[in-house]
Amino acid sequence: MKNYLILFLFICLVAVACSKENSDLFVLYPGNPANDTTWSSSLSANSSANTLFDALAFAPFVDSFSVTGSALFHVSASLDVAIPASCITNANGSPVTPGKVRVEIRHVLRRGDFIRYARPTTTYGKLMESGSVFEIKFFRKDQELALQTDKKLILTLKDPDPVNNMSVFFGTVSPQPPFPVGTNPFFAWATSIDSSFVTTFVHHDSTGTTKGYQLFVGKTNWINCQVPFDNAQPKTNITFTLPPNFTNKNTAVFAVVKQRKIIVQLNGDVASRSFFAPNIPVGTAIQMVTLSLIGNQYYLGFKEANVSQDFIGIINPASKSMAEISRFLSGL
Amino acid sequence: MNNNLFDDFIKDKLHDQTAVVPADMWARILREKNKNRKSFFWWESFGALAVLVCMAGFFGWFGPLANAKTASYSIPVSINQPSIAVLDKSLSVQPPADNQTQKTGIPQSDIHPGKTATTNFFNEENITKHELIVLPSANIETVGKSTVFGKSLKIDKHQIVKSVNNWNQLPTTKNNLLKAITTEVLKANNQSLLRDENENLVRPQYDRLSLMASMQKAPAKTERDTKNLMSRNNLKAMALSSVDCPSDRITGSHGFYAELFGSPDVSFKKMEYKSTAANNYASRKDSTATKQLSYTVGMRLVKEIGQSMVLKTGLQYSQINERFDYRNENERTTSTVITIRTITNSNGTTTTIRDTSIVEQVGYRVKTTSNRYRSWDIPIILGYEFAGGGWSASINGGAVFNLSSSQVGAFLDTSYTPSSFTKNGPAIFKSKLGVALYGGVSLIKDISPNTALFAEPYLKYSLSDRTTDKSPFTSRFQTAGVLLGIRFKLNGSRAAK
Repeated sequence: MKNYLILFLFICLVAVACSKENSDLFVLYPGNPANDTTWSSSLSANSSANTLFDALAFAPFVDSFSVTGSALFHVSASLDVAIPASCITNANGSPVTPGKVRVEIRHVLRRGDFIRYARPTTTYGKLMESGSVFEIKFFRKDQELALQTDKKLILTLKDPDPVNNMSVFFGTVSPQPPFPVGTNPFFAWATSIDSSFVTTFVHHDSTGTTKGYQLFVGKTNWINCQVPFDNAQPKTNITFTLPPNFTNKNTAVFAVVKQRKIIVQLNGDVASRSFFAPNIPVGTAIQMVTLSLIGNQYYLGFKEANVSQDFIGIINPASKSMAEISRFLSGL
Repeated sequence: MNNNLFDDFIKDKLHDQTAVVPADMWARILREKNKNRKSFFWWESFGALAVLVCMAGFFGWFGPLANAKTASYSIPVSINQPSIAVLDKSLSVQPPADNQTQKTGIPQSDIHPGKTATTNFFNEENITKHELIVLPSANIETVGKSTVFGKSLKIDKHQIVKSVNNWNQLPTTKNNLLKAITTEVLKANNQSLLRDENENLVRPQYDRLSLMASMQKAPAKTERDTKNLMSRNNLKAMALSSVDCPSDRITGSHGFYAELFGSPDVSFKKMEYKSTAANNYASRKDSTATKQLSYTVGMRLVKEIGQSMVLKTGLQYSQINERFDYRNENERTTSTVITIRTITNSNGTTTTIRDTSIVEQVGYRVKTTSNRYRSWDIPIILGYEFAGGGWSASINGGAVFNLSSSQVGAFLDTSYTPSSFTKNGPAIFKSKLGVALYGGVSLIKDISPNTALFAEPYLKYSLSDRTTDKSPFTSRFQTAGVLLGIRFKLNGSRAAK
């Protein structure tokens, strides 16, 4: 009888002991970009760090004109674009048939806009101070047209404090090596080798004095009037780290020099998982801005700093809506 | 000597004595009979209700047992000392011609080596079962099933051979042979010596039939023979022993038993939602709960009432198990990490920086909670039992009164988020569940004189909801299971009837 009692109690014990414990399990989505904390040594043009700017861009100024006649477009309160007659050719340089041509013009004026369009003012790792950046394109239907080599567009840009010695630079999406440290391999400003030039002007009339730049450019697409920035201070590297979710695949980091149109895009360093930029003058007051797109969520980071030798900073971006980011950039 | 004088005195006084039966005796018996039946009517009605509830399952499962019962019987076998004494004095065995037959008592013509033979030799005209015991192993092998008193017996040769395995050393004279048999039987004193044709053990009994048959075959010729036949042991055998028939099993003494049991249960939950607008909630909530194996453990006291009815009550603990699974998609979780980075300075040196930051990850969360619905109950069950061949069965019906209930686990609240509940709240579950109906059929098997095992498929039907009015839904559990347990005899010598 004792054995049966023991057997009975054992069965009861097994029945009670066979209860599964409670669990609270979190399972990561495989392949979800939010869970990807790896860095890439060769970024693609389709990475979030590059595509996040598509949603930030403003709509361009769009108008049309007769290809046989000249045209003057008042793009904004600070920019007029004059187009000489019969200056448009096909992409291969052959004359276009008479008719209407569509023109699209973007004007990057404020510092935040340089970030909005991802057009920093550095070229091959060197800091430049910009007057403005423009993008001018001509189209007939969907075919992009070009400018005759002996013709120049005249861009009149009002600027209350123009900088002398500006030069015209054209943007290129395929920079030619060698690439010094800090070079963006996907975009660089190249000094114009044609007769393009920029001048400053001061105009007096009954309404007052108007200052600014006048650019004579012989190419379309991205145009910049800028000058190398050198304040005789020693140069140093600045480095910023972000939380592990923010990698060079989904984040773009910019340093904006206060009071100047000097915008530097920091490069991702895979080894240290940090963003850095060379040739920053020590003592420069900068504003750090980070933009990230992880999955379908945008993040904005901001921090102000004074550059010291081998400056290292930390930024913690926060989730923001696109409208919030756009407003922030417009006010930068 | 004094005992013999007393016996003679009693015999002389009571030999021709007759008792006068009163004229109204039968009428009084009828009145008492009707009275008893009336007072017991409601118990029988309740039992009958339980019988109807369980009838279908019972007949499907218990049918073979019922057939076995009608074929089972208990062969009176005399292996105890009183019967041996009688046989020692009255057995008449014809001396066989050859030595082998003389020793075995089996004519050589009835032995068919290598076959299972049925011999008519084993009948009450020639031999009793004691002589089966002295069969040499070779002959036992051939005998197999034999007929004793018109009943078929199967000889447990292993026990016998173990007792008498050196045939050549057995005495050759009848008296010494029987004395040796008696010695061996007393040594063996084993109830498993003989089995009936259904492999059931044959219970040892004082063998009244053998005694009477012996007396018929060897009538008293002298006063000494008469005294021997009417000795105290023989009278005791005649007076106390009885043929163990099925009715005797059913009408045994009113036993008192204790049962310990456990049951794997399956519960069936019925849920209803109070708001018709909660269809989405209902479907979502239903998908979060999965029933699991539940169980019941407890003890019962069983008291026989009348000839076949039993009343059972005790205390039992039931636990209904349910698994709550909740999966929340696109959940973001954060964790703190320490990152160590080595930064290359502008002059080529390196700096190691260590920062603590937050990592955010996206995934789905699976929350699994074991819901436990516990209850302590007092069952009050009436059963109808009947027995046969070492087996008993009963049909049980009654009520289960809840003493207390508690629950712990989680459920999906109306905001579609997991919400935990404990016995302290929220107050959406009752602490007392009221009454449930109980019906079951049990099968009981003796495993020793005082112990039996039983299995009892049952159904418990709750009459009330487990939830209160504050709950957005109502839930009620019905439970089915199989009680498996042990029954102990608390009085008397047998565990089951």
